[in-house]
Amino acid sequence: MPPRLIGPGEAEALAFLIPAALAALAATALPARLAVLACAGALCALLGALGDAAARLAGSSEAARLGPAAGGWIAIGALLLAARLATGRAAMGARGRAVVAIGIAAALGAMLALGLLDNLGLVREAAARGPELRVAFAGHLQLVAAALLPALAVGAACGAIAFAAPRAGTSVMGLLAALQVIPAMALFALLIEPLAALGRAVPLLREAGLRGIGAAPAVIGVFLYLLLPIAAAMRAALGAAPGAAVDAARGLGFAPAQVLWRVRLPLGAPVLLGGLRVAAVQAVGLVTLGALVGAGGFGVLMFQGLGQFAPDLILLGALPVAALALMLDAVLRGLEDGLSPTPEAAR
Amino acid sequence: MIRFEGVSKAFGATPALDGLDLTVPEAAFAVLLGGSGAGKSTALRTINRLVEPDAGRVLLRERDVASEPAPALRRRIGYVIQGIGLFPHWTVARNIGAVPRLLGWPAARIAARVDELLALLRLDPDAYRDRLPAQLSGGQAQRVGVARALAADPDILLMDEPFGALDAVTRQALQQEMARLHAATGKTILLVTHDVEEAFALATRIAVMADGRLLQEGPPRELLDAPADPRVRDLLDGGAIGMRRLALSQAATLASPGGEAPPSLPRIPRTATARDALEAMLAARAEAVLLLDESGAPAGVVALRDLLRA
Amino acid sequence: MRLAALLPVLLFAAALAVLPLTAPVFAALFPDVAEPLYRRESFLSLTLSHGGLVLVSLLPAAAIGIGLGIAATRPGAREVREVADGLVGFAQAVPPVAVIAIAVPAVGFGAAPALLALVCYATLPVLRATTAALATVPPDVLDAARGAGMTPRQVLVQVELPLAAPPILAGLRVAAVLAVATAAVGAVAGATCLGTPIIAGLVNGNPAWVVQGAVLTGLMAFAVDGLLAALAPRDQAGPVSIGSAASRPHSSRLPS
Repeated sequence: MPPRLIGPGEAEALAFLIPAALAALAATALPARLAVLACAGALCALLGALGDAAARLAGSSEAARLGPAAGGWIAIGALLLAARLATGRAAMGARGRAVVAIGIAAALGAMLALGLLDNLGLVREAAARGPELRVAFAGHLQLVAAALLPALAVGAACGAIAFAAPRAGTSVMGLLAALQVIPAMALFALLIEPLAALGRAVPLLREAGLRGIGAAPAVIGVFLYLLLPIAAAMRAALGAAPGAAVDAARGLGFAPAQVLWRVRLPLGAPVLLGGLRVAAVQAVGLVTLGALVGAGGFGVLMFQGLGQFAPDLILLGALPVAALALMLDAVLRGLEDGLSPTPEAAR
Repeated sequence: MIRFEGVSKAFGATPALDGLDLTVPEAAFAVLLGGSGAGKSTALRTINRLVEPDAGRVLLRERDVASEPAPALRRRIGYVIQGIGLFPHWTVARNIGAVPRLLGWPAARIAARVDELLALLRLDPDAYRDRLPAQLSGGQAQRVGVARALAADPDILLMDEPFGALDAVTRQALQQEMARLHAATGKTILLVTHDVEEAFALATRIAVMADGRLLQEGPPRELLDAPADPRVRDLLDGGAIGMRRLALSQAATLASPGGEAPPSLPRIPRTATARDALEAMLAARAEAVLLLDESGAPAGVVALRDLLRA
Repeated sequence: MRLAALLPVLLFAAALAVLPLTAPVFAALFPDVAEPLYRRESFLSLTLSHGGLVLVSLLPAAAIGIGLGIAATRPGAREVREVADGLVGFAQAVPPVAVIAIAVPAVGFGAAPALLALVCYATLPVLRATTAALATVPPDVLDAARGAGMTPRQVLVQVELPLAAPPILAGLRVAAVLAVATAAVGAVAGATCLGTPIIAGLVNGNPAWVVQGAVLTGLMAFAVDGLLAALAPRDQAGPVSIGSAASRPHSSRLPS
């Protein structure tokens, strides 16, 4: 049975669009905090209605794959945007937004646990592919970590060099910037053959898992891309301390290492963390493309879905990537706010 | 003439102007004086409608400034600010010609006006016309800023802390320049400052503001002699009131005929202030000074005790 | 200096001219491969098609990015700013390949999903550069412009945009490079471009094709980067270098 979409042609479409429009209106008309609640509530109601509609349309057919059509997706997107706007208007800050996000996620989890959404194609697909999803999740995280951790060390070193020796630093940073110009797909692809040759030449590396096709080109490629944001953040972080503060520290008799550890790094920490955040979010996205050259992760599901023309499978690969990236971004932003030495954040 | 009638303005919950009533007579060099937060810049900016009042109105030559579109109004009003705000991507000539261009003057007339103004502000037109703002010193940039404000021959000139960012020597030179320009053009000038010295050096009338209200307005001498409010006295700085009063008095008004003055007396021009006279006496350790007229002939004697009448 | 920036363009042109003649070289490098040179389409037509995707998407992206950036920096446009921030944040979290994949069920295989993703992702650097550049125009210059009697439109056209132009052009350059990368990814959804030999090579186990596609894609990115660097007016107003740190090329790169 071909996938049937719950679309704007059907009566349900109105049922989705009307609460979405009302919530969007509410988001601008209501007091900000109330509007956040209204949007979150409407989102949950919308998802519940989708699940309910899917249950009725699916009937007893096990094979049916039902999902929201354009109208439903637009409604979900509009509600998310309205909620984001309302949090902005309520001046909730990173921490407040995280609470709202966790609340929505918890509601979604509850609906899933209660089986309200069981008849949606995406949920059926996820249930049918539970083990694959877990493998993809673990693989994605491993790939991100494998690229991010060495990039942190090497990138920070490059940034420190660029700060300490601006002349040499210009060429180092120029090289890292030039790397960014190479399209990721080309870089991954270009790494395959040299790595394959290396694996053939050095059996030990081959036994350790180094092959042309596989995780290696993706991890190395992502590692190379992450160097620039981390190095740039490190350089900026070391220079973030006001000149007067550094002068004062020297004048008080701090040794150079003490200036670094007690003045420069504490004052630069938020900047460095900002670089880490950008790098981590980029890594989550870049790793997805790595599936093309044989690395694991959610990209595997996505490309599989693309090959089978299976929208639910594509979404099953794409949505967790987006969720993972947004969550990492939110968490690290919260940390950044906490580290910031301004009195506003300290309150 | 500029008249504020019950002008109020709040930014959020913070009131900046609280029912300001003030009249600035035609051809005056008026100074709005007050500490930070007194509302003086806000008052100035209601005249060219960079700030729209919440209540009350502002009249320029008896006409409500709200009665015409803001851009047209602003083209008739010269405006100079502390940051100068020269357009960094335009040459000096194009900066000065900004308002004439907006008014659609022909190019030749703009070019002639630019050269005229550069000369008026003692900048060599040939040397400065084609420079970019980044190639000017702070004082030169502010001269260009003043020239730009005067370009379209505005009815009045508004100046918001125009010399605040300049060093003391440049500031004094430009203050003298402004006094000269005021005398030469007879334009109504309204200048905002927190600098009491500057106010007394330039003003024909001073309006003292605090907390968005007018405390007192009048000629500088009147404020010194009869401060209407303890805050006015505080602002004018008790320790310097006597010296300021001397600075505002002409030495000639205190002189007695003198007759045969001893030749050892210090000599100063008849146009000097009473403060100059005191300075000359203290410098020469003398108890009197001899005033000389333009031809160098004795025109009277000012003794130390005469200064008490200033 | 300008000529040096054009070097990658020459390199790309040379590679494009020489590559069709290199069948023996690839045959020697990859002896196991039956068809050492990709011949389904000519490299020139792949390049033209790739360039077409980039150009067609860059124009609307520039218009949307600059337009939205201007709207977001007008006084009282807080809502627009929030929407723009939200879109940028969300787009940064979703890799272009996911957008292309998700678009396939909606718009089918071919150039359409690639174009959709291209417009979305090329808009972001332009939008970010425009808002950042307009936000760094000195407030006293704006005050002086309004005080001189310029209408809001005159302030924008005569003062703000000229001062913000260099960073905005830098943003366009980032967008163009990003578009070259995103267009290549479009090959997974069937768009014809320099990514096509890479995908065909990966699918058919032909590493020679992968190398040919990857080399040309990489060189094209450098060529576009160099071309726009050579075209960009360099600080003609001397002192104006606002926002140069905020919108340096590459600093606002997105995952591709």
